[in-house]
Amino acid sequence: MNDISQSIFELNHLDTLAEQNQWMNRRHPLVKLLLTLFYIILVVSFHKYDLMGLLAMMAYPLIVFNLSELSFRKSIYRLRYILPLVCIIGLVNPLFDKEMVLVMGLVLRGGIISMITLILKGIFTVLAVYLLIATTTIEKICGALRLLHMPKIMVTQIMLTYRYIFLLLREVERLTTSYQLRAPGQKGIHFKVWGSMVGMLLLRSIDRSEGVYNSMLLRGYDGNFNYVNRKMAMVQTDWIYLIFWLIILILLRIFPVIQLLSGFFLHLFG
Amino acid sequence: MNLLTFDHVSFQYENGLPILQDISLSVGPDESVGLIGANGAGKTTLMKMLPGLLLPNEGQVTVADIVVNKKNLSQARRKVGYVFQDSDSQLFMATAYDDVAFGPRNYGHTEEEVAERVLTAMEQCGCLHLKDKQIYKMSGGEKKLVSLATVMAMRPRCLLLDEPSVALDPRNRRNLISLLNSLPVAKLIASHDLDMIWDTCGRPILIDQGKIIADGDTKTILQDKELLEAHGLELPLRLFKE
Repeated sequence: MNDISQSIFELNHLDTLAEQNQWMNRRHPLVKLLLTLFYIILVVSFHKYDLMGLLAMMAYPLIVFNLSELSFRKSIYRLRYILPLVCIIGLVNPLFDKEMVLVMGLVLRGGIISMITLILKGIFTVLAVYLLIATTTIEKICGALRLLHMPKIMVTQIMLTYRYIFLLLREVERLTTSYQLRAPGQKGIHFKVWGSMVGMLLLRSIDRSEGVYNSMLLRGYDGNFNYVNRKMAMVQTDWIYLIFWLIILILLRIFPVIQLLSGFFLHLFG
Repeated sequence: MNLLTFDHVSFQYENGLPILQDISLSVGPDESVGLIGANGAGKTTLMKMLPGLLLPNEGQVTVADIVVNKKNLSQARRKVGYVFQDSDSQLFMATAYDDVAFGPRNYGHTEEEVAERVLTAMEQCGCLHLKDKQIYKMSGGEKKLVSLATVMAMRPRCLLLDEPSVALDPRNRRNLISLLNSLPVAKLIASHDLDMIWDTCGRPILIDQGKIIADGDTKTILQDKELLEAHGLELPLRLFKE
């Protein structure tokens, strides 16, 4: 399987995961969306030197991974292209930040700590979004966005962009296969044809996405996802799940849980 | 009473050549009509006017007495089911069930009604066994059947099929013909496959350069070699064999 086929397969696999009938998949999409947004806001709000506080936020993805019955190893593998990018962003911090800071009784260079917190922030937010889309179909996410009164046009854009990725990848696959079959022995695509290929790709994918949009319109799509929201009413479990996590996340944000726990254990065994 | 009517319809894209010129035709509620013509004759454009994907520059299109215009689009679209030439444009959900359910769900049916419609449509189209299959794992023939089920689930009064036999192997093509003949709705089928038109339509309409050239019964038109060849077509293969 070539890289593009692999990407299409993985995207489709994500759709399959979202379609499953697991406990986590059955939670109301609005609850999952709100918790994801809240989690991201809290993670981003940590100070660049508050490494211990940030580490405590790892609890959310770890527990949700278990509840979702998703393979952590496979998920990390699937995020292999995004996570290095997230890490690269933090790599320049040690060069500019030369302040010394105290972390868990150790004096460390601030640049190192801020680099690690930045990387962790990136990883946690990517994981939170991944957990949302691996347990919720795009239609349900769009339905939840409409419940939050996001304008129809923006929700439709999100929906079409998601579907567009599939179309775009399939078109790329067709074009590159066609090219490779007529350029045997050549590695990659010669730069002279990049321009025409990108142009062709754009035209073809516009054509295909117009077809999909027309097909949606002809089957009653009007920018609303009423059926998603009609089908999924908030049940007691959703409320409990939402309130539980709101309390836990706020506690994790306010209190230095790791310091408190380490102090407790030191006291216990010391 | 007619189900579909074109009344002196003309169409052209902005700054473009005329695609349809003064088209007038009507289709009855139980009729099966073939639209035949060479590439670029205007078949697909004509079909796209019925659900209002394109609106005429002149003249009027009606579907079940509803004039197709910007105000009445959603009403008109409920009456017709459009099966695209390219099934990949038709199918966009993860599984066949969800794709077939997309229309009924949008039209506000309860989940029980949706399930009933989906299962009936898939059974009617001979693709019930595919209901949990992922779209991207399907063959061309399977996609075509599911595409048909997506519109049948909306229970349209008329099916519009654009080149339905393209990319089908002989057995799937034969199955599709049997299926189309068994569906109790009006049909408008645009195709180059004159053998298919012979098998499914009682009335072909020959179009060339956006004009209706001939409109009559199947045997008269499809056996007229001179007429067909003059407009970029050839006799159906079955007549060559004979």
